[in-house]
Amino acid sequence: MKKKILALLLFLLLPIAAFAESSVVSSTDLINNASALDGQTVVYTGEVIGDIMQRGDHTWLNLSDGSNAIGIWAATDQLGSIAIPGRYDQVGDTVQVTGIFHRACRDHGGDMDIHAVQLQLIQQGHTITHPLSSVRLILAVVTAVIGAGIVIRLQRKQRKL
Amino acid sequence: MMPARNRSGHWRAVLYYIGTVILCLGAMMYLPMIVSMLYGEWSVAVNFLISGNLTLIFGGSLLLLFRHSRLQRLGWGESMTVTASAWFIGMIVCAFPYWLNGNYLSFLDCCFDVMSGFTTTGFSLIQDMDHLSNGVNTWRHMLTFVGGQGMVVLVLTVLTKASSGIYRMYVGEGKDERLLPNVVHTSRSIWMISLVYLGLGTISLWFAGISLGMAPDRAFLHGWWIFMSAWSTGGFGPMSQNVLYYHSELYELITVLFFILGSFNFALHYAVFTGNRRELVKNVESVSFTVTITLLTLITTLGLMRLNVYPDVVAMFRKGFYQLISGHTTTGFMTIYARQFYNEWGDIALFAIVIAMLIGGSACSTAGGFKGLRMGIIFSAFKRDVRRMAQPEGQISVQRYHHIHDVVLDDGTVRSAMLIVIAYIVTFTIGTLACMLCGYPFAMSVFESASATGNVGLSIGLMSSASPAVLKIIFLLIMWLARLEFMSVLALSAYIAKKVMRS
Amino acid sequence: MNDRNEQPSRPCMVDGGRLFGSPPKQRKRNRILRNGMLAIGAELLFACGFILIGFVISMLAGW
Repeated sequence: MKKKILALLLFLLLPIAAFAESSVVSSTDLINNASALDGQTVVYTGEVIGDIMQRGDHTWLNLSDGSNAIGIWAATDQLGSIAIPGRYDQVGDTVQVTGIFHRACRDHGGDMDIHAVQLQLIQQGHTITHPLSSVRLILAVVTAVIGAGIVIRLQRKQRKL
Repeated sequence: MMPARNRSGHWRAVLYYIGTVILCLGAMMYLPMIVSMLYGEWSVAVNFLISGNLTLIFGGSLLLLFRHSRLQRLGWGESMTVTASAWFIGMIVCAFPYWLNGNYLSFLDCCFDVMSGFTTTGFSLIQDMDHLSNGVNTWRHMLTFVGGQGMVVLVLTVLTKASSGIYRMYVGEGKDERLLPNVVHTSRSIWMISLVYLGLGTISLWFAGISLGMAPDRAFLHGWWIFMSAWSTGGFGPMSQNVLYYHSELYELITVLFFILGSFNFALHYAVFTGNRRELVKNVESVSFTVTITLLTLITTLGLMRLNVYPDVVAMFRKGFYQLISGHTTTGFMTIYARQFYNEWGDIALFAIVIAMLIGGSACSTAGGFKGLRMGIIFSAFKRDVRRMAQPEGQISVQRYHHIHDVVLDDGTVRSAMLIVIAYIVTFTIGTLACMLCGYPFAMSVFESASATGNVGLSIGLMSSASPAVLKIIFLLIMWLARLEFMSVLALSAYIAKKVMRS
Repeated sequence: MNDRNEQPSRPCMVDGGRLFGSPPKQRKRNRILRNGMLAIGAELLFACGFILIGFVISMLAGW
């Protein structure tokens, strides 16, 4: 019975102990202190940007914290509901990754990356709208008319010459 | 109609040709507008429509007002003034789409990025690159593609008649190779070669992107943009991580192939395309590039090895060699973060990459730097002078070098080459000093200045939107001067000074 | 007398259906295409040579 309680305690406490060893870092920390953090477990949070690039049973994500973007190599089945990358018309999923940081990853040709142990969706992405200005629309139409007039006049003059 | 011969008509002719370039640039703005419309980026599309219309109005007005002066004979000074002015005014009009779309902190930053694109440098001050619209990304990469070929070259391809002064404008863009007797045909040949590779390169990168897990449409756009940037040795990328974003040796290999080809002399391309394939190995620029890339790769690798920067062969190749050849061809693609140069590479590897950036690519190509042809000429002159010292007095020897055909090395050629190299060195020194006066450390200043002078774009993290405005202006002028190889800009300055003194 | 010599511009068929003496424009187009493809191949191969230099030196460093 005692052994079972001990095993249960270890099972519960070990992940907490592991996370207690991880540093919460920004992309600037990773780049500027790459040698010191190389091989360490880090916690990094950022927005998924661009493309979620699935390559077989693993996937590349690039997470940006506003300063830089860092590549995250994760098993595809860790992604869960992470599916929205940030682009012009959408804010991407905000994801927290816990994983091993590599200054120059041997597996990936020297890339600076994080091999994810755990991925957590913090906030789901959403669409953003860029409203169209009516003033600019009118300006576009007016300038188009003037521009067309000039081009037509130019063509007529060129023919005469 | 007889051309006007009085000198007062010259400035009208200058404005006519500037108007032609501006008109072409305005027409170009409709392509990113179409891309934006396809993706529903309506506000971006409207901004490009406004910019295109205003540019057309401006360029068209110049053409209408000064069309009677188009046959005016232009001397070297006026022709070079056209080139330099067209680039500068073109920079201002092409900054409008950036400014309207709100991607920059100031209009100066917009102009800086346009000049960086035109000169195929690759420095970027854009904000939030990872959320950029497809329209703006298309525009950025188009600027490098057009700038790489040359704006005057672009105009020449659409002209039906070449008038006097056109060849001089072409030379004013840092090109003096006549592929064909007629400079209009030469320009069209340059475009034909570029378009053939545009098709091949875009398709290769498109399929590579799909294999990496990108959606087909995004893979196509990225392939198209990255090819334009690679071929023009521009170095712009659609994402903030540049080529590192793709985490792919295949993508890196394809980019290396195309940016090496983009750094070749167009005369070399033309010779090879017309059946003279042996020119690839005989040409003085090929020999010069082979020697310098081998030596500098050895030095870079030695420097990185000493500090154990990369753990294995593959990492050394994909990081060390990639950055070096990207710098030597003056492309500027990066697979590491800018600060890693400063934090990790060490002095020896940085020294090698600075030299590589300054030497640059081939003459009459999209690349910058001193140019391999000049290095070859200077080295040949050095060999000749050493041989002369060892020869008996009175013995005459003739030194030749091979550039498309055998060329006798004469003192005039050597002098021209050395003058331009000295001008580059002076420009580089001014850039370095300016950075240090703004408070940046020596190593960073040297690196960033070499990158600007060689129109490379590799960054050590010095140039950013937070840099002082005066430094941005100095770098903008350096990029412009270096890309046009000084003569056009100096001719423009002399022309303006003369006009001011006369009035 | 040789009829072929009297009418040199008339194409005549040979084995395999290939035209012998095809029109000059077509020959020129074929030559341009052939030169173009060979040129692209030669240039890409030449560029690969520089990549090989980089890889060999990196490999030597790895030793």
